[in-house]
Amino acid sequence: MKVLWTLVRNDSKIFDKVYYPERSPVTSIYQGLANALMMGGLIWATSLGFITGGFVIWCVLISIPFVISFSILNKEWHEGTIGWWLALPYSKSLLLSAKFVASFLLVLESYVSILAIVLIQLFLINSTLPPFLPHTQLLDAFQVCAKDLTWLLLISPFSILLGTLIVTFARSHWLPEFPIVWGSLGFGVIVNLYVVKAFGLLPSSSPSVHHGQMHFISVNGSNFLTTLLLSLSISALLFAFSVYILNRHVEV
Amino acid sequence: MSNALEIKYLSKSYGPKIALDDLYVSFPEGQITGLLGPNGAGKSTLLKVIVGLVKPQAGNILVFGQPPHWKFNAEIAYLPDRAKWYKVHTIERAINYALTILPGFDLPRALEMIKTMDLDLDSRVSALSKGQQASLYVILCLARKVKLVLLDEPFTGIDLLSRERIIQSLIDSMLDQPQTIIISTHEIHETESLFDHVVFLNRGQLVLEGNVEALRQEKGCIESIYRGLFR
Amino acid sequence: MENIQVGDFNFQMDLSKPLYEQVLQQIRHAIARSDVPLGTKLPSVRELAQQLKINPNTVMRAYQELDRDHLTETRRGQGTFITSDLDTVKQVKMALASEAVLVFVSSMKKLGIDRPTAESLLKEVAWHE
Repeated sequence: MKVLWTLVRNDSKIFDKVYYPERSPVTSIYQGLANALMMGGLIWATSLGFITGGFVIWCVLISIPFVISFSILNKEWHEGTIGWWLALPYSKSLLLSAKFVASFLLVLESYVSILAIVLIQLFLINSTLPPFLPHTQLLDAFQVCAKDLTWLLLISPFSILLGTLIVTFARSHWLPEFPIVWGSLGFGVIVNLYVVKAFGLLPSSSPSVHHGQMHFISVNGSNFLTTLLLSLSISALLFAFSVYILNRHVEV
Repeated sequence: MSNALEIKYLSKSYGPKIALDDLYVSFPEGQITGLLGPNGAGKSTLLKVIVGLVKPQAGNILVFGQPPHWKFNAEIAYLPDRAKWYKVHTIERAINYALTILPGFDLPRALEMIKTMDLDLDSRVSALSKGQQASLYVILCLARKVKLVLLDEPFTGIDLLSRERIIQSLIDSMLDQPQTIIISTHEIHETESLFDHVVFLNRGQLVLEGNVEALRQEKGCIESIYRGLFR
Repeated sequence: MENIQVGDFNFQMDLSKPLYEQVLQQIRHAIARSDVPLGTKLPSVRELAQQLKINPNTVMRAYQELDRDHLTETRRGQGTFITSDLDTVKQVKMALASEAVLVFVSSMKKLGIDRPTAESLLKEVAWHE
């Protein structure tokens, strides 16, 4: 148990007071450029009507678990610590479980902070609105957020383990080296979006922030229990397959 | 004398590239063995097979009588080639991590080694020089009560002083606990006086092996034997 | 080859010859030549191995050999000391001297020089310079 916890602690960065304290200026510039490009692209696509704001928010929220678990696992190769990690005297399922728990904690942290920011913004808007305009009911908004959060968390084990599987697969000896890994990130993000959509978690058509009607996602024809069971059973399969690949087909 | 490692007809290739070619060799227990050979000789692959990072296509290998398995890695301290440690760790954090994660980790010994290697517990791994990083890795491997220590190129690209400090801690380690140590290295001149035994590999095959003192008696210094073999 | 001073002893290690023999011979010679006073403490195995950067097993083997010849004695908890017994030292001195004579004789033989000639050469050599 102590081992699992130490591994989780090491895999997730929430417990690191300082994360990436030193970043070279070149990396920062790169990062900035990439962000600007992405934002520009999104604004452009939205303005032309290809995508809606609701769709973008949905994509971001749904991709968070996948991207987090992808980078947590991929980091071992990327930072060159893979040799130590794979030679640890623990089963591959324990090692991957630690990555799973770490990813889940980080996902929880990101979702909660995003929703908290939304609520705080609503509160601020409310307090600046003149009294004759309709106010958002904060309690309603909170309930809606909590409901969205539950659905997102329900589906996240699947997305997390899809990330795990795609990294292990991309790093297996079935595929050639490096560029594949980054290609697989994009591929995985899209697969993840499609599957989540198939689960019935659709982008909200009107992410309006007025009148407490704000939903980030709209749930279509799914119920809580079946989605939970489905998500967990598919996750279990993905986990088993990742462990198998890591055991038998990953060499460093 | 019994053997720590028994390797029989071991073969491994990566696509068309042959790393180990029907390798048949053994490593004596309780001794320090130098694993020598040019780049691509199969040294790293052999060490990886021992800890189960690489699966051979043919042949078998016994580590203290057992085929490699992650469970037995509890008794093996392995320094991977071109290893890096988690950048965000401070040395203190790395030591704490090792204490729970690596079985047999000897905290007092690690702290003593940190002192002799002149490392600072608060410095971050990403801020360490190459020599300091290498020293940390060697501490993580040598400050453990394990039966087998595998160091893959621990001296590559590091400064003379760090190299000497590492050699000192190797000597201390040998005195403090009987262990089987295998070091793959190119720096034969600095290290050959440490070895009890040497194994020369080339293209995945055994070229020469033997007790170092006997080889010195017979053929002179290990470095010149190496030159003679691989020129 | 560099000179390495360890305690009262001076070593020169040559990696092309067995290190065990070199450690053994150099300590023997130091004792026989009275470079170090009798009863001197030998460097610890750790110290000597560290200074010479050699495998401690090599040092241990050499020390065991010295112990077997009674050139050194190990006192529990104190370390290993060179014997104070003059007879033992004398024996070692004689043994090393006869080794040297054997070397001398064999090189004379190789040169084709017979015993009387060698002896007369020896007589002519100036001992004190």
